[in-house]
Amino acid sequence: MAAVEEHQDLHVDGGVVARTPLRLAAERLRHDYVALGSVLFIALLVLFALAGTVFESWTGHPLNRSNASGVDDYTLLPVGPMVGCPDGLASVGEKHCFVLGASNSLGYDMLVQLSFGARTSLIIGVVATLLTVVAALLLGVVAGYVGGWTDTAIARLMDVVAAFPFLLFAVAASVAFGPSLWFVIIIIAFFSWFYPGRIFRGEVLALRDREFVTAARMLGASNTRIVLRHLMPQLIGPITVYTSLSIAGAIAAEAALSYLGFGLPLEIPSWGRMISDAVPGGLYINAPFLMIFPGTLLILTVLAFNLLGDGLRDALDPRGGTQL
Amino acid sequence: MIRFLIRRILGGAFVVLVVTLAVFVLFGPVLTWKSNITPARLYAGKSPTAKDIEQVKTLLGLDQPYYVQYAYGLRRLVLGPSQDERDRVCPGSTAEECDQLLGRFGSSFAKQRSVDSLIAARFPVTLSLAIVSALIWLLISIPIGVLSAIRPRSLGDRMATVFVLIGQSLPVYYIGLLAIYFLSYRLGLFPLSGYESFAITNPWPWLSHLLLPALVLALAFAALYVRITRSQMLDTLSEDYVRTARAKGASEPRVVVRHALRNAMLPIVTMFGLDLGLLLGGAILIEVTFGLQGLGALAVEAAKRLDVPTTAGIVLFSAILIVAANIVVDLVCASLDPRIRLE
Repeated sequence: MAAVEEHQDLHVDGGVVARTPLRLAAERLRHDYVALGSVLFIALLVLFALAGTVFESWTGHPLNRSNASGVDDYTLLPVGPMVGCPDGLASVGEKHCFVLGASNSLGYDMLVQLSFGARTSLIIGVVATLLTVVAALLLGVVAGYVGGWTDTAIARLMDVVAAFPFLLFAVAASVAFGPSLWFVIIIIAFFSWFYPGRIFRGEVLALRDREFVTAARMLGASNTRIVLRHLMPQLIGPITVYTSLSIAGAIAAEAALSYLGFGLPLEIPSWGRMISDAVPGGLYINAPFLMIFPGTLLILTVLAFNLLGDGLRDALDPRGGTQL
Repeated sequence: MIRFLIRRILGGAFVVLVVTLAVFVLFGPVLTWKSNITPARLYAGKSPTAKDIEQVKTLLGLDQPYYVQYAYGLRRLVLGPSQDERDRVCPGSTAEECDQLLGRFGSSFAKQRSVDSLIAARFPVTLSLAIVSALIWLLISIPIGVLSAIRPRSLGDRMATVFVLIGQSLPVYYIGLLAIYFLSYRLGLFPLSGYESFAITNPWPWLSHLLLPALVLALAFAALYVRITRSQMLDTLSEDYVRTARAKGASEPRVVVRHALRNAMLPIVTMFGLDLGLLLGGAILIEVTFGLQGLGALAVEAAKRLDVPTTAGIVLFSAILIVAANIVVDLVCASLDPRIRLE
């Protein structure tokens, strides 16, 4: 244990402590209150998403189940927040209390739907980002490292994918593939890998001819070893930043697709679909909370991942400053 | 220059070819395999008999092997419908009547019209939306970008940074709904929804219906363009020729506008041309939210009704549009910067 610590903080003579770049970045991040706030929000969101089943048993309103008490008998509108809670805030957690109201004209419970919607957003955000970053790394690093016509071909492919509108193609493709979770994840990854891919390609292109790569090659290192042991560690910064930004992008993309009514099957709750549920017949004019709860949560979530990505970029590359 | 042009057009044609292949595979084999739906069954209407389906297959040429269908589809896209197909789809009608029913992009399943005429009817709405919102976003973002580049890290610059980050995170459809609720419904500033066509005598109905959707769409793009303008301006402001201009005694506004901004504009113009595709994507959400009967709304409508030829037609049409816009942008850049065409 002591040996490890000794290794991390190299005590140079005179008590000066040499710190690794990652440690420096972590320290800068610790003073970035916007990024810390984002981390806190994301942590709370994860808890909120995990609590779905708890909310179900509290309210007695299972997921995707219509409740007669969730629709007003006279206006036929979904009931508003705190309906069915006789003692006000004290009765939060009691059975049949609509803490945040109902989420659609069938009387689904808003709290339960939001919580499971958070689960959907987080799962899609993380899995689609994983695919995006892996694809971007593979293609970006190969393009940057190999160069020549391979690079030209991959770079052109990136331009082509970037030029086409995600939504139009996703709508068309969802007609053919039908609604499914994996379809949404794959189509999002398919239309997002080019952006981090370009960044990784650029980084590798800049690093490829540096002295340490030449030195490694002189010592007889294979290409695989140079890429994995010498180049990859340099890419940890951009990878972290674009993972955070990609999660934001994927969550926004899923919500937009669901808002249009494509992609996810109806039994998987989604914030985007909850917003679109408020639209038919101008429901949101009389009951604006129907769109405001999922809409606000969506904005905050996307903003949190974007701000975190931005904070990470500042922490990992202080010379770039606040790169707009 | 001619060689450059030819190379770019061939490249563009190749991209369109790949998109046609992708669309064909999606709406042919993939549709049948994943959803167990064939276009013939969709076309034949509710509870068709096996005989009906066979007839439709012959009518639409779906009894042919896939590669023959693709070749016919491609031929029709380039040369227009063949006489043989005209005779099958609209027997006994004149060429003009038949053009209403069958075009380069085929004929719609849901409506007895050619996809071409549907696109032609809807495209002006999307184009109007695009033009008005592009004007708004350039007018918002370039001044903000320039101002925050002149005084980096000032309060104004920091506020612009916040605007950019928030603007990028906003879902346009939700902001659209909020805008309708507060500005149109509560305050009555704008019409609730719909579209009026452009009239030269009184353009106000057209503009008032477009203003709010265009504004919301512009907000999302403005954020991106503030960012690009700022970083481009920061780059050019540190160039030697800017220092030279200052040393010669040029006034600060003149240095910023005539020397720095002019040089910073080239990448912005390039971006602008390339963002046409993104604009079409954003237009889908805005059109659906604001009840504008544009191309994006048509795509969503057609996809919900499983109107395969219309959905495919819109995708192909936008692909051609995007590729064409890319070539125009490349040409403009090449004529402005000789280094590009020698590449």
